[in-house]
Amino acid sequence: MTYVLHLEPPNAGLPNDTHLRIDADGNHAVAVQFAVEDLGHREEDAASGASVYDALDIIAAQGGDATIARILAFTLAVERQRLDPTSRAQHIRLIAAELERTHRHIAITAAILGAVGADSWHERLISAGLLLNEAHATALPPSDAPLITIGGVSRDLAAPDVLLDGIVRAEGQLRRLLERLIRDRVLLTRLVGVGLLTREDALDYGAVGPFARASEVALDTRQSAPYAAYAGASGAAEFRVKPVTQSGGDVFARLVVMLLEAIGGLLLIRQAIQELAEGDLRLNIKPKPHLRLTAGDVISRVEAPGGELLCYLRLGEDGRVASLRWRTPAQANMPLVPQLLTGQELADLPLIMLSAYL
Amino acid sequence: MNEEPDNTGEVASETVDDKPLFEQRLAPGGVESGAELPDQMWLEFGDGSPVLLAVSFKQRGARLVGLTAYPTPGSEATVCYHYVLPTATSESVFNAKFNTRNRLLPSIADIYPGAGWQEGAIGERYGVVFSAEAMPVAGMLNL
Repeated sequence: MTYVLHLEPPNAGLPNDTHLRIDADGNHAVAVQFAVEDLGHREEDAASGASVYDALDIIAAQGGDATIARILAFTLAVERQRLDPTSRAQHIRLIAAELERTHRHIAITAAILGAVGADSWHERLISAGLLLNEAHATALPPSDAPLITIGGVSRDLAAPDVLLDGIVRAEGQLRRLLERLIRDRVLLTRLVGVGLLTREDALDYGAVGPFARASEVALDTRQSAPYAAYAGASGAAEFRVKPVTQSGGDVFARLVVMLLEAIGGLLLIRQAIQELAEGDLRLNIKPKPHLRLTAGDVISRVEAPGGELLCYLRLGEDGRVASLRWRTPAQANMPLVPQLLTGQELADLPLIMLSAYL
Repeated sequence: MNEEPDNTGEVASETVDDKPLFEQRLAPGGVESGAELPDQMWLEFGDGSPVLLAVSFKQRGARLVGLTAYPTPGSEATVCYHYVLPTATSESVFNAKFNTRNRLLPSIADIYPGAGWQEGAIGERYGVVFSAEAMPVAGMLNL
């Protein structure tokens, strides 16, 4: 029996129709391979020839679960041309990036727990996520304009106190949940040893994100190559990140890494709110038609929820985007998936894929 | 507040014409302890082979972050290999560009296994064939 599992390109930065072809014998996957039907990359294709402002809108419109990370990476690439954002903007960007990370980690761990029938844990995680959603929506209401823009942010925190309160409550819930969850023997039996990735393979194949860190690879771009507020740029407060690692290398270890990182993200947000810098939201830069950008190649790297995200931007002589390329966490982790899935029980495949942020 | 920022600054870059810095910092034996490097460097190898460079970086403990590519005239492509090396205080990214010739480039998947999937994706998108066979290495920096 052959199964086809479609992956979502907006989330993973993959070609438009990427899917896994899984040959099964009984309850086990015996062969797994990728197939790509549509080679277009909508976002990359659309950005070619656009101004950097239009490219930013294109990236924002693409959506997906790492939108903030992608916009941040793109703006960091453009801002290397002496367009350092303001200190207040750095704090708000960090809040947005850590909210995105925390939301995604909670959503994925909740999905894993839901998939193994751990409904009680699933519901508690969803409850923490909803609490966070509510505070997030009040403090940074959704808007058509991207929050992060070149040289700063487009809007201020609407209600820092509400966000702070929501953060503190969600953090408490997550801590209590994690303390009990790691002692749940039924859950341990179900998740420990599933989708095992050794540290050697993670290093050899260049795995990133919680997927790698759960196999003792202490790689987190926020710490290894600090950027923006993580580097104390533009006079922002110092935000220190220590990579969260586990040694298990399995789905359970990845789940623990994600929950610990969600808590860590909330602590960073709390610090950013408490030490929120005064000042302008963005540089008073020249309006669109007059912004002068130098032709050339530049890359930027940020730690997206799923791991290290690389943005490669080429600007042409006219200052417009000559090409925009991404190396997403999914692309980094993909090569390991076939070997990780082969031989596994079919019921475990979704857990492994989710835990690899795919 | 900066009323009129100077946004015409040069983006940090380096090409093969900047050999002295590259060779000095990446001399055989590896990166000197404590050496400070720009956070990103750009190297253009023309139609050289990416294999020897990959071997050299692997020996120095560099991480291959990824491969990207863009089309060039004549139905060819430029493939950019992004390597990360740790420095004394942070990391430096070496971006090495190689041009295809007759849409061919040798594969580095034997050296960096994770490259295989990305070579495949670039191959399907731009028609580049990543061959496992040895290629002429003319134009390759003498590392």
